[in-house]
Amino acid sequence: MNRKEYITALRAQLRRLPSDDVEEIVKEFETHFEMGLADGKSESEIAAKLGSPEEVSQIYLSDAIPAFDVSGAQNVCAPQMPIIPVKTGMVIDRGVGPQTAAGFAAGGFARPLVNAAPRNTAPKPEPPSFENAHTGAKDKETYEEPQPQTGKKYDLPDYTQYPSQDPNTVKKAGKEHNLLFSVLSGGNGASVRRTLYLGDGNDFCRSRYGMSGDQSGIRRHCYALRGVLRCQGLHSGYVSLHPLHH
Amino acid sequence: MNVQFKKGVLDLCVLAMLNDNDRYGYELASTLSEAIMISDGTVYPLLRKLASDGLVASYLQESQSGPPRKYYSLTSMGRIRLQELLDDWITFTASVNKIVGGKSA
Repeated sequence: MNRKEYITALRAQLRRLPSDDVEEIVKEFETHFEMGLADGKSESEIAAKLGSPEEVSQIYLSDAIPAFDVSGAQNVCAPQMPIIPVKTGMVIDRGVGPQTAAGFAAGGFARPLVNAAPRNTAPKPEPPSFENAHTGAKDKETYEEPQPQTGKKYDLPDYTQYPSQDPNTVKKAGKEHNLLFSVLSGGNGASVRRTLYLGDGNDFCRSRYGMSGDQSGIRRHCYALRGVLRCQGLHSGYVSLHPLHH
Repeated sequence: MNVQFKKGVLDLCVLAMLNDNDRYGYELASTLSEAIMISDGTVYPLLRKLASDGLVASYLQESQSGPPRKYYSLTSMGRIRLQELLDDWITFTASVNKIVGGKSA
């Protein structure tokens, strides 16, 4: 199999994924071919060492989470998981009932109560400088990675408070941001595995797994400050979104 | 070596390699495929997954020969994960060594 055949087959296998993802993946494999060629290998040698396009794409597909609806109407891929529109400072308050599999099946998660209570009623801080959040000039990302926030709560800036930073503005300005989302969860769901997904229908991020406690994840290259959070095993908590500074 | 077994240690290997140095995909793929006999192609989906989990970050860098290279680096969340996996690995291999009769155990 030569390079062209390999890439074509890979692309065909991946067609279920969002096209941006497919392009990114294909690019990675194109680069792999180019580097292999520069190493003096032949296209067919490189292709053989890669493993079949079917085998490779299967891994991508099984890792992927199906796209879901931002409007929050239906979560077809995992009906037991509530869809909660994310808003910074939002409190998910006692969204759920039973935390067992039977509870899920009985619709325990069907009507999450979401209180869009503002996180911080204290005087607003100065708007954070979104303009400098991403200069685009650096070719290497350097940022402070968040540590799990145990005991230290709710001190993240609320970016949605500032009209100039609404999703449309951010998108129009063409800036990309890496968003941290974190959920500080309460309650007892100690035996429940929590996984949080944040996405806008095309792209998503999954948090670290955990049995309990605070969860966080990072979604990279976001244009918009909105998304949908899907939670499994979460019955009360606090959602926040904020950009990671470069 | 058993396929499932290899998959289990692949995360650990990738994170460990990135702990020393930032590396590009081709480099990771060729080193790992040689060392533990996996297909080159399995490394890329893994990198993507690690990135979406926030354990690694990537950036592009021009190279003198060939196309720009996509480098991967370990995030601090990745470092935490590496430590966890490493602890598991050490405990696991020590237990196995005890059973299979490694004198050192």
